[in-house]
Amino acid sequence: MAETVAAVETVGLKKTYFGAVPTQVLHGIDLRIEPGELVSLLGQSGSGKSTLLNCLGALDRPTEGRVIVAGDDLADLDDDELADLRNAKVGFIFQFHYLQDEFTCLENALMPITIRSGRPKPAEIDRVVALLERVGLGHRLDSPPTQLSGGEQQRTAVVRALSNQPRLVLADEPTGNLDSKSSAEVFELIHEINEETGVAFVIVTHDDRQAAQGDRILRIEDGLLTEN
Amino acid sequence: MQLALRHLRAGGRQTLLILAGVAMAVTLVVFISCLIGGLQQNIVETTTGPIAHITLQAPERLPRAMEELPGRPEFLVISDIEQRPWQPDTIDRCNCIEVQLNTFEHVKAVAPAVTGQALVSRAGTERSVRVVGSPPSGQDGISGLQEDILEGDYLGLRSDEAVIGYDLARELGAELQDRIRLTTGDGITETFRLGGIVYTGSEAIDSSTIFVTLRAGQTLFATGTLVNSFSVKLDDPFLANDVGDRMDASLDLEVNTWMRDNPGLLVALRAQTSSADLISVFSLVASSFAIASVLVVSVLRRQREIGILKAIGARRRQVLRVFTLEGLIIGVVGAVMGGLFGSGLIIALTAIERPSPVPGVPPEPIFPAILIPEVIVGTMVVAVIATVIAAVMPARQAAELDPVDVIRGG
Ligand SMILES: Nc1ncnc2c1ncn2[C@@H]1O[C@H](COP(=O)(O)OP(=O)(O)O)[C@@H](O)[C@H]1O
Ligand SMILES: [Mg+2]
Repeated sequence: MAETVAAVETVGLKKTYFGAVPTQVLHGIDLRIEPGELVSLLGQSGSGKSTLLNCLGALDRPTEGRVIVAGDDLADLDDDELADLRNAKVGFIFQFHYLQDEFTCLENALMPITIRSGRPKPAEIDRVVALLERVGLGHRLDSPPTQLSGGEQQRTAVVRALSNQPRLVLADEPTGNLDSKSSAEVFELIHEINEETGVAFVIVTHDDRQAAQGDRILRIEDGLLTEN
Repeated sequence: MQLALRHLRAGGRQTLLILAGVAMAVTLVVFISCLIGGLQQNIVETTTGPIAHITLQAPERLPRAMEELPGRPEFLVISDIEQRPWQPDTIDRCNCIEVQLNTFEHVKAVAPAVTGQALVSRAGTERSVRVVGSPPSGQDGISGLQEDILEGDYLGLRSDEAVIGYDLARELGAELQDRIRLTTGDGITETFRLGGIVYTGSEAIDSSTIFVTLRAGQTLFATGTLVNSFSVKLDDPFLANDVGDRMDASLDLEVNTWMRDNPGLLVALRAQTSSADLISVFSLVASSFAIASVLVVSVLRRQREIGILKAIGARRRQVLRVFTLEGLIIGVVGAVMGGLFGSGLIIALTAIERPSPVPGVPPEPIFPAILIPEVIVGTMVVAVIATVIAAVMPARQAAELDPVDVIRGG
């Protein structure tokens, strides 16, 4: 039965921002992403890619419609339960790494586990260390983020997103802030990890070449999703 | 917990600033409270130490209106007006009253006495003095004279000996074993040898009081075997009015307390206490505001980190806890530092001494401050609470932060 539970699923998802002027950004999105899929999300700046990602990742609630993350309907959850769901089932990678300067690379990668249980167990630490080694940061475990290069910082953020073994990783322009070489490296890494771990990825990107490497390409236009 | 500690360490200069703020406020409050508390205790001790807390005297026999006289006849003819002869009012049933007074709560010592005014003279110098004739063992419980004696002896005072204050002795040019003469208003004259010289620090006693034995007092004031007053010492001088009132209610004696005799002093003490309290409250409030504002800024500065923590699953309460915990840690560390520093200052201050004006008396501190443990601990506790409260507002602010806003803002 587990195979039939989507990593994330939306039904008629609408999102309106009620600022000075109400702006409807998403006009009803139906989407289903299976476990292990790597989906590229394209769209012009301001088209609502981040908005959609925030809704998929339970960072924001839809104005209308349903969002079901790994079997849990967000409408049934209160704010604390949403936080727990983000912690356990979703990983985030942003354009900026948002690592905490006062913690080491390893501690940053362990942060979701620390938040969940206070103190990571040895097995969890081993797993995260292995992941860091996997992304080529084995020699950087005890370095503060400020001593890492941009690519290294973002790779740490990738491991942080994976550390709690989520069902879904949402990456919002994860390489948008990197030079083309590091960018390619990080993108390649995400790809490999997707293959190795079977975690579903949704990646927002501007790079058509990168997008083409995914299993599927989704495009947002006028608040609606098209697939090609 | 770990998170809070790390943030604090990373806070660097800001954390130090807040810590210093808490520590300084606590230092200030501890310092001022202990200084004023010490000064007050010193004042109260010098004022009430050598004197009775409560004095009971035979009631003055006031002339009463004839209508009040019991069983007055219908008609009364006044044929003669008699002058009442002066006589020290005396208290009968002396032992019985002494026993009774001892049964009151908080009473530490009771001494029967014959007191009155007299003229002291020696080698042509005369001074008006108050004479206290009282058994030394009893009176010592009231005045603690034996402890304050510079020369001679009080407890072993004989009935032909007198103990006088240091200042009076100097004015009279009297030394131990010299003879002094006392003359009462009734013209009774007695000669005493100087059995001791005391220095109590109380002006009234050191310059114008003479202590003799009860027997000598009874002879001097011709009271026979009676006394005219009782001195009472309490374990807490500030209960004088309460205990005095109770004595007043159950004994037919005129009751006087040191508090009623020194209303100005009490007002001054109270004013001092309230201004010290006011300074304490203001410095704690001011430091709380300073702490709150620094913490608010630090929350603003760390919005990104807080946002990401919430994005990866930190609950509202967790964020709240991290920042409140920071306040608690700062509060505890700052309070301990302030408590230690304030106490250190007080100890250093009391070490500054000035030589006593009287030879043979050890030098006394210029600032008779004392460490009041309740005040120090209390201040520290209040400071910790104030810091935590000051931290709550920024902590709330942090907890309410919407990660989406942070991420969108870049
Ligand atoms: N919190 C908000 N309040 C009001 N408008 C918003 C808010 N967040 C996003 N928007 C608007 O919604 C639209 C989509 O934004 P976004 O999802 O960030 O686009 P993208 O990520 O595709 O560039 C933009 O026009 C943006 O100005
Ligand atoms: Mg965006």
